[in-house]
Amino acid sequence: MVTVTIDGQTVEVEANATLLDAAMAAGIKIPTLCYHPDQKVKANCRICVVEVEGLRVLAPACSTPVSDGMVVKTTSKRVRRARKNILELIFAHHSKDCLQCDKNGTCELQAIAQDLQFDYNVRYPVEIKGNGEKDFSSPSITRDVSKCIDCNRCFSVCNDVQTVCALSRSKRGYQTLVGPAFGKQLAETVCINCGQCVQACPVGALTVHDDRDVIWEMLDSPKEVVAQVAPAVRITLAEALGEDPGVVSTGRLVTAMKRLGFDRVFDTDFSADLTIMEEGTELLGRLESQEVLPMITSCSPGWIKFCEAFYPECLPNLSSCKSPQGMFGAVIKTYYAEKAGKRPQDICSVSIMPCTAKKFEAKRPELGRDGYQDIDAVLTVQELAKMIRYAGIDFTKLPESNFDAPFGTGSGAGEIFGATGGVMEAALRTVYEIVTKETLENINFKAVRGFEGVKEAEVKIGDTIVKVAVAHGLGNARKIMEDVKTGKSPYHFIEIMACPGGCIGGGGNPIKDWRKMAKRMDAVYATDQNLPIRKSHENPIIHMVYREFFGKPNSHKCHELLHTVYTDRSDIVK
Amino acid sequence: MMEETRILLRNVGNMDPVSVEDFRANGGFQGLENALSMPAQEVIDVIIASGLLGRGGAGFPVGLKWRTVRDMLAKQKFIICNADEGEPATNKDRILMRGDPLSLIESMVIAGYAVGASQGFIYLRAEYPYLFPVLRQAMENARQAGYLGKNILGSGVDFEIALVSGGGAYVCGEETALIESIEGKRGESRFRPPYPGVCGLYDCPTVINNVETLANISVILKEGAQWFRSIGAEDSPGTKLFTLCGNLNRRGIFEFPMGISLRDLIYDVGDGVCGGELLAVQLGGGSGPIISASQIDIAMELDRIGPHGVSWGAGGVMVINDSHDILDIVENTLEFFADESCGKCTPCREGTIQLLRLIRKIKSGVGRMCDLENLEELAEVMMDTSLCGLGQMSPVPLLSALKNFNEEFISILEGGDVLW
Amino acid sequence: MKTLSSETIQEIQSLAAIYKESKERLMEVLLEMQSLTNNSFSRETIEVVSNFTGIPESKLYDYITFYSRFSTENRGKYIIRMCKSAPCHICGARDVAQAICDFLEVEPGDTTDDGLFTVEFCECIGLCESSPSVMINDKTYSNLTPDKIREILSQYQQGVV
Repeated sequence: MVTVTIDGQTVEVEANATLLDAAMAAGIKIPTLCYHPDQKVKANCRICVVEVEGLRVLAPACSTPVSDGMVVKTTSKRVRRARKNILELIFAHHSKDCLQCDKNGTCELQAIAQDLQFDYNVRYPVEIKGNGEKDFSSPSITRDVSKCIDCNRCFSVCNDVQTVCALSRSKRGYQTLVGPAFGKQLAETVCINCGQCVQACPVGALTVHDDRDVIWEMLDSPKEVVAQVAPAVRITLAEALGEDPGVVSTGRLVTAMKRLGFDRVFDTDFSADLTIMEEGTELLGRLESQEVLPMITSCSPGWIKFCEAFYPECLPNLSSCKSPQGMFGAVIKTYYAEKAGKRPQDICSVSIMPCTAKKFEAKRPELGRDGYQDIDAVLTVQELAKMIRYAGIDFTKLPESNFDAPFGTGSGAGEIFGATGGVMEAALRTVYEIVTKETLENINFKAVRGFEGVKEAEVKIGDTIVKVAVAHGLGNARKIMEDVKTGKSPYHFIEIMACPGGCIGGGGNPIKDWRKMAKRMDAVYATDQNLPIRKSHENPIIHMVYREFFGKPNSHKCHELLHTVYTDRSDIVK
Repeated sequence: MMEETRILLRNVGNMDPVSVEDFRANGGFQGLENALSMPAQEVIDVIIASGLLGRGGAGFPVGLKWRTVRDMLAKQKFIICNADEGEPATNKDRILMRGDPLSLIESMVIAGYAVGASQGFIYLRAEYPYLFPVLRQAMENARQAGYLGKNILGSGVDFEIALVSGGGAYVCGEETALIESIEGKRGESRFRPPYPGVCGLYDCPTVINNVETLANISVILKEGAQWFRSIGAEDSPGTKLFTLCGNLNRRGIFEFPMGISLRDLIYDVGDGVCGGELLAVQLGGGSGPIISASQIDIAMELDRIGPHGVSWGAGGVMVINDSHDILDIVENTLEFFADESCGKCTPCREGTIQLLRLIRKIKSGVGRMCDLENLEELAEVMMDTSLCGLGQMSPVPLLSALKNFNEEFISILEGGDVLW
Repeated sequence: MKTLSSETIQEIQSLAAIYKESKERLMEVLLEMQSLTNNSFSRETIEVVSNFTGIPESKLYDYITFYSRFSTENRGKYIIRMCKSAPCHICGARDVAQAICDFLEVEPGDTTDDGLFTVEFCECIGLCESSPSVMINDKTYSNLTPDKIREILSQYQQGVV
């Protein structure tokens, strides 16, 4: 431990701490922009500079290690002058249309400018970046160069964490521009729509593609608007509306959506259970025949596009199951429409998702038939929260409601789809009981829970030892996929989620960091723990849909509606 | 002209640069032989005792740098020769590499032995394409003769050198940007600490010295620390290579003991100013201070801090005659840094271009008095907050000119027809 | 549209093999590749290089656009790099640059219609003690005057160099 004095306060911190850590320990918030708690320190924005006694120049708090006896000032005249000038330098090329900006109110730069009494008076010639055009090409992500402050947080997550490398940089010095190579539009790149760049962007340069207007139109129309709500949404919606991370708002969420005018609000936990039935059956088939193993989950559309682009030779390893969103969409437009006596075209099928890639998935031609799509629009948690705010709904005061029947019941197994390892655990709960015909005593598979990048476990099911692995974040996925590609993978079943942490870390959620993620994950497992049904095959609604409509898992009809095919996209990688 | 003290240049021009025989005949490789005959720790002691300071610009004691690397426990360590001589008005390393590459190779092997590194890199700027074959041939010849490669001179010491090309980026002369460039990335500077001596190339402890610094090593090991200390100034021993350029009657690369006066360099060695009277001198290179004709009675020593706290160790002397406008010179240096900033940190990326825009505004006659204050404030903030030496030093020419030629700036502002 | 000949593609492949052997030779290898392909890296070239080196296209682009020796625009057979740094600047570099542009009837940054020359400004090329200087590909020319450079250029035009 070392002792540091910051603004007259003495604190004891670990010897490997930075000045930023020390300041935090002293209860002092130092402004930061390029710093992100989940990323490697970059120290490029320089807004966090502080004055350290004995140093020739100011020191960036984010990268400067503490040393014993250090004396630091964070608001000295020299520091104040530096911060003001750095803000001026940023605002000399940063578009100031805050009022029209998606990040108005949540922008880190705006908050800092406010905290630092910045008067927006720039003493140099102002030249806004880019040509004023926004890139709307991607169904998931909108890019606005005029807001970019070159912090490189998006570049870092796209290249280092996700290893997708859709974002590049061009030139150097003041001409540096973060964005796709050759000035391409996002949709022309290998971008897999995960939205982690949106999560990383401190300003409004990268935002979720906004589909709110489409939804408002639907709600106005005479068509029936049927929504499905993904497991992770109930975990993060309250947070998006200003409550603490980890506050679960299932009942209030349903009430809010009803008040917004959604006719039916269903629970994607149901189709997560359906996925387990289909995927579990598929896995058992593959284990029996020992063909095309390991089998890999297909719930995460970011991961699917990544696999199509970077590991096309492994497409046969992917489960042929649609994602829970895809399955539910098909159920709504066929089985539900039939039940409700409506034409599929007269139903607007809307998904509420934690995920920006779901917007891309919904547009896949495989997810539709006879000229209509199974999912007409996808809203992320961020957008739904904004609609709730627009409608002036006081979320904290809402009474709770239940999801609508018949698809309002899901199991705890469906619930945990929201966290990394959840699909694996849910599948194991079901597969074990189907194979052994015994009741699983301890249904908590702790080995596949948590934030470890690659998790593995061996599970004895009957006479077989099933080897499983779980990866989240595509950089971690690569570690597993290289072996799959060369046929050396030791596993039978692999779960891969594109986003670090799984769906609760998805690009459409409120902006995250690891502290928030830990609370979200705790909330996922607490919810599962409290549900009366915790195994997919025990969900009575599942039994109903097979009885009334699909027959049995992996039936012909299931294959027609609940399974899909993949496309080799390696030509865009190059 | 005063007589030079040709220690680093001793072989330049009087032997076949790549011939091991010629080099040996001139006393080459004796330093290496001496080094290999003593424990590695002693080699470092000799360098520390010699008082050798880095010739790259910062003037850090070389022996201490080496000791840090020697003391690190690591599987792999590296020696890097910084041959990315991008500083305008300094071309000395080019002369050394073209005229005496074997001496550089010898010094790198000594450094490798001293700190326990078996791999070295020479990062050569792309603007010296004609030096690649010279260095390659010299390395090959040294390898053939047993001075490079496996089991050097039967000592059991291995050392190999790889030649790495630059790509046309001044910032890669900055040691951490250079390391990034060798790693196959953009040449963007890293924050420090950690310093390269602790965490350098591929995160391994790394010695990084420039060509001129390294060129001193072989001769120190040959002649001894005491001999070296007897040359030059007390706190700044040895000789220095000076690049005399600009409006001088005699231009070129010259070697003199530390402590020679600037006036002598200009009027004796450089044979006086051509094309007019002396207006200003820029010292140390493009990021060095610009001083006026009345300030040239100073001794050129490495540890002596020059105007604005800047050391001018790279040894550039650019003489400017009075046919030039000081604002034009300042604009030129600012344009250089706007072109060459890597773009990583805000103050340098944005500050270099804003300084340039402001000076152009003033130069074009539409400036206001407050622009001068803004210019100075921004320049000081850049020095205070930039991530690496490029951003920290880039305002030096401007700030020194503002101080030493204040009237010129004022008169332009007053002469303008702008209300203020 | 494919414009690279199969020979060029083959050469790129063998250069890529050098890089794969020793990673720190990336710059050297890319400079060599560039000299085979109109002194530039087009989208197509980068795609080919990416295939052989295994470096993602976006990373190549990130790298190439940083270093001034590379270009993504087609350039002439000879690249004339006119130093504009201070030591050249104060010794008449502007006149030399003007003479070059006038003689070749181009603006800085342009390529002559015959595809022979591309004229670029550059920062210090390390020939300060004999400024003003220019480089034409790997050759250096120093102590220049407008007359001298015109003579040199006409030699290039006549193919004497």
